[in-house]
Amino acid sequence: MKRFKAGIIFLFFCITCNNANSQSFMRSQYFDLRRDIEKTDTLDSAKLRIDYSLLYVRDTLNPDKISKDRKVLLIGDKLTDFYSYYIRQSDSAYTASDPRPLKRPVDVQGEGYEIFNNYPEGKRTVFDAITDLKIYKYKEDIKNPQWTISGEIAMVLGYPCIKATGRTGDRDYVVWFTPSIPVSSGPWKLGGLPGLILRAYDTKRHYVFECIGIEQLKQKQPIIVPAMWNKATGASKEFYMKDQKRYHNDPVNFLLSIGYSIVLEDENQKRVEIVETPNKTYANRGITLLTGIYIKDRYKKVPYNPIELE
Amino acid sequence: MIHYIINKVLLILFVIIFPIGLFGQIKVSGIIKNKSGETLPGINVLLGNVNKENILSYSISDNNGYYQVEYKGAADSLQITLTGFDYGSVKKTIKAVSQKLDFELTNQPIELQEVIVKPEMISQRGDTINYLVSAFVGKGDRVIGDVLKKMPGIEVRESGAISYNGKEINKFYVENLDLLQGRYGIATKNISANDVASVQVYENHQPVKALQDVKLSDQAAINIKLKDSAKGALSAMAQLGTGFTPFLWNNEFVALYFAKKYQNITTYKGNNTGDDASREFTSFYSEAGSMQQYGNFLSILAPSLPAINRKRYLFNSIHSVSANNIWVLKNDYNLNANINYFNDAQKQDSYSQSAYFLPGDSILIINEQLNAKKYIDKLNADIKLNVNKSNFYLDNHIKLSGEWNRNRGIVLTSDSINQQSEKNPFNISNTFKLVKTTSSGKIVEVNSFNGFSKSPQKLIIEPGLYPFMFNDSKDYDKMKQNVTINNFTSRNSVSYSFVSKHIRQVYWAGFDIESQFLKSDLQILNNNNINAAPDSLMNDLRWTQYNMYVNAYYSYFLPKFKIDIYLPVNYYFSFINNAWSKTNTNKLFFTPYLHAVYNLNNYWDISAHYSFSKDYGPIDNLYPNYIMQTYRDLNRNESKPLEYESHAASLFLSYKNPRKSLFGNMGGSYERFRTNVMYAQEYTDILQIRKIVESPQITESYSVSGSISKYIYAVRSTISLSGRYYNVKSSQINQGEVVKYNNENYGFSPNIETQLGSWGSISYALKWNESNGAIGNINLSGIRTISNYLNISFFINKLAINMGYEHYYNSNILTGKNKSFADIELKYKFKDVELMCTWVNVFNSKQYIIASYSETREDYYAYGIRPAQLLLTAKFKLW
Repeated sequence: MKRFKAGIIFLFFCITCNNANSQSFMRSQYFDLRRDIEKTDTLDSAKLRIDYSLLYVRDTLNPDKISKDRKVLLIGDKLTDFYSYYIRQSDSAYTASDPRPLKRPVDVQGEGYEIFNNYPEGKRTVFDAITDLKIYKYKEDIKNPQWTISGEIAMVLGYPCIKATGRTGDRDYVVWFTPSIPVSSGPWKLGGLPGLILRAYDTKRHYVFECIGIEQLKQKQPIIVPAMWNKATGASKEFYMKDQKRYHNDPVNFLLSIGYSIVLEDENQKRVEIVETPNKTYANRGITLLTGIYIKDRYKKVPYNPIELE
Repeated sequence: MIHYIINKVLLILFVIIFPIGLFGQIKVSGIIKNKSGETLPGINVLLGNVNKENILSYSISDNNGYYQVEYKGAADSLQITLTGFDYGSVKKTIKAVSQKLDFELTNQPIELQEVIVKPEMISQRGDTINYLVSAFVGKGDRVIGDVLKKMPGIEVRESGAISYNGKEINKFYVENLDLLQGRYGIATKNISANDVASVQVYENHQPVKALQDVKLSDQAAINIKLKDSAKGALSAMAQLGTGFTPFLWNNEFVALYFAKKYQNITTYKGNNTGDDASREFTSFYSEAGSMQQYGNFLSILAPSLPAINRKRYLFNSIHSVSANNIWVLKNDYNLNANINYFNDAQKQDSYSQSAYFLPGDSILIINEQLNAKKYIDKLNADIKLNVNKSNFYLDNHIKLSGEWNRNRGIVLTSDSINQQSEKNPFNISNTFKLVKTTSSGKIVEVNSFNGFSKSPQKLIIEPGLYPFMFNDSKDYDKMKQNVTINNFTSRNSVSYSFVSKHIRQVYWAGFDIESQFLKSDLQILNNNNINAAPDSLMNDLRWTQYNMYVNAYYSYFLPKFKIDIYLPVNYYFSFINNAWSKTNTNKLFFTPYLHAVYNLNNYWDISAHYSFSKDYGPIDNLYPNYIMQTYRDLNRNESKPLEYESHAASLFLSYKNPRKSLFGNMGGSYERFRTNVMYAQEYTDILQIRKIVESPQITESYSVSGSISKYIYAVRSTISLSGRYYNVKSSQINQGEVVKYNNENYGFSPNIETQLGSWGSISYALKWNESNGAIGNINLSGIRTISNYLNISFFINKLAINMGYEHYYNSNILTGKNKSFADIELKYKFKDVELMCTWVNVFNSKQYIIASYSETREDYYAYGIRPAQLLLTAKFKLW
């Protein structure tokens, strides 16, 4: 139990609403259990590192507001690892011994998920945090879309790429892959083509990946996963998708259900009311998880536009 | 021929008219293996038309190396292409019929055309700014201190103190642990740059987590984030060096260990080459737990130090040892144990001429030739227990320091005077701090500091001087001044704070005691007889001060604006007892403090501050009878304690844009300083008698300064520019007359550090300073000093060539205004051994002359400096 407490991180997190000029929808100060990542397991070593930029729309009602992320795809001999560069950076920026609040909002929005393809062999393991409190883990079969290859060719980062189209996760994708890099990977869960995907977007252009870096690693970089995540049994993908939907539809009740107490505040950050969580799991361990929410946002939803819709 | 054309036409018609389904579907499948028979997964198999780059069908071999491609069409032959990341590409033309086709591939790695993402050299996440070390490190950089100074926004002063955007840092962490307790030179000068992943700046860092929301800080902290490879493993480095002339040695041993639960830095450094290894032991934390030091009350006469690189004039022989440990114990407790010790023998040779401006346009000139030897032993030890949680903070810090100083010197003026001093100051203190947050959010804070210091010292002058004063105008052998000053200080406070809406309220109560004791006598020795010191040459003084205060502290805060107001009311009383009289003082006074910060946006911050403070002068301005501080500096005081009052105000503006690598700041400050007495200087021949006369003195000073720094990616350069202006006006009593003086000082210093690809680097710094002054009606001639520092390095494979050039200019020197020094260094790296050959002071300059002002005097000094020297060094990586 002590070990558990030592790994706690105090974070000030901003989930901003996508309406232009709107106030922060939610300010939460909570303990982050996800970031006990000091112990790691090495799964493979990477020989290639591919960097993608991601531009994405978080709120379909506000499609002009674009969020930004940077993704890294590490390709090893056995498996691949796909993660957000910014999230990893902040993980390493905030180690357990100096938990410090983030006081200013950030203009880049990292997506929290991390995808290990061919781990375990033939399958895919996905980790994601809906809130920073709970880390979700699920395994699924790798089902690549039925790709249709056209004759169109375009250059991406100096590589000739062939266009292919396919459908997955309730979105239609256009991808451009290059046979010159003969690895059948790509950003997110996209892959299965005879060459690396350097550019990918869905037809609504809600998620646009573009390769910005290709590096052949001379010194092999280990592909690591936090040991705590690795040994977790995980749940089904359906359970994760359901919780994700619940959170976006009714964040306050969702947070209450997983153990947060909610501090309702007025615009001047004055406490109006504290809603105690009925789930005392963390209270029993002597930890109070508190998140602050502006009272006007009490029943507001969080925009829901994940990359994988079903 | 016609037959062929008809065939072709038919074929085309066939293709157009008949649906493809009519053709038979063919399947090509097989197993792909390597030369040693292992099946290969992940190989791309592409089926296309012969000599075309199209893809009709593809397959990726599975974990058993199996592939299967299908084709429906009319072609009678096809091209099958295999590509694999470690197997290159294989092309084969096959008949368009279903078939089994196995492949055996040879290992043949692909060489990709790489596109490296420009590293985000500086990135900001919340209040943390990350500087990527790999983006700033150059080939010639050895330790992290070499890289820190290239990071825009971070400034490393000559003393080694680090500041971020114009303000000194308040903490220095290695992997978030405060291993060195402020002596962070030990880290910056010994941790290898290659072991550091990033340097992090924590802006507005409040080190006490339990006070994070109560006391906001505008100072930053620095954290050194190591690479994973540098964690959990012992690394050690040794250096052996020797050279001439005279016989030179320069040896080092450094061991470093950084793990999650324990960190250690152990160093030994010894040399006689002018490197002052003890400078690494300077603590840069300004801590509440400090007390008045009187270690240098008496001294042999030695000139003030010249403003050139210290290693040029330091004739030393130093051995320094340092052991620093931190353990992370159960329940987040940290335990520090730090010990630093050095032993040094220094030699100084100088010639000086000092001109004192006396009223009535008369000038007193003193010529001296000084030879001094200093033997110093100094020990510092710290033990600290600390726990830092969001609702609980406990800190207990025991500090111990002792010094053994023996100085000897000869002064050649009209006579030859032997000086000898012995000083053994000793200091012990304990600092305690407790912060507890109650469940309802109230915060209780307890602070306690207790310290004791003892500073025994003596000064012996041979032959006895000033016989007309001390020995009925008869010559005598020696004079011996003894002084002991003891100080006991205790400072204790309790505070209670709570937060409501926009206001934090803190209420304090505190009680300070400072009890000081000064005993002195000046003995006249002749023919081994000690003449009992007359009362006029003895002091026996006890001064006890009490200060009780209550303080209300209010902090008003909005998301972008914050103002702190301190309102302490002090009740002060003091007792002065000496053998002849008793004086009591008591006073009630108010010392407000105000500080406001406004965050304009993510880039700009403005802060302003005002304070009024009051203090009572040190005991060394209180003794009523003569004390000989140097052989020509005999002082007594005729006053009650010196009372200082100061009004200070400042305005500070800072800008940062990490994405553009641009940082800047500007500030102005004003201070009005009032003391209730003035110094009066009286001269009798060479003897100076400084008296304190009861007449108020007002000193006004103001300053403006600013700096800007930017990293320019296109030319791989960090460019910085800083400038300052300082003006002080005050008055002084000279030979019984009040003289006004005014001093003005301004300057600027640009600096550039450029990486010329992998083959070289250049750094250049300029320091330009102008100073003007006037005493009464006499305008002193202005002094301009310019220093240039140029460093060029070339790297040819394993060989590095460094050339350093320093140039100093001083306008006030009549001949030889310019002085230059040059050094050349060759480095050869061979596996874990680095060989170095250093030629210091190539021009073989042997003397350095400077001119300087102090308040009412003008000085010329000539120093002996280190001659040309050749040094051979080998550095070994032991682990």
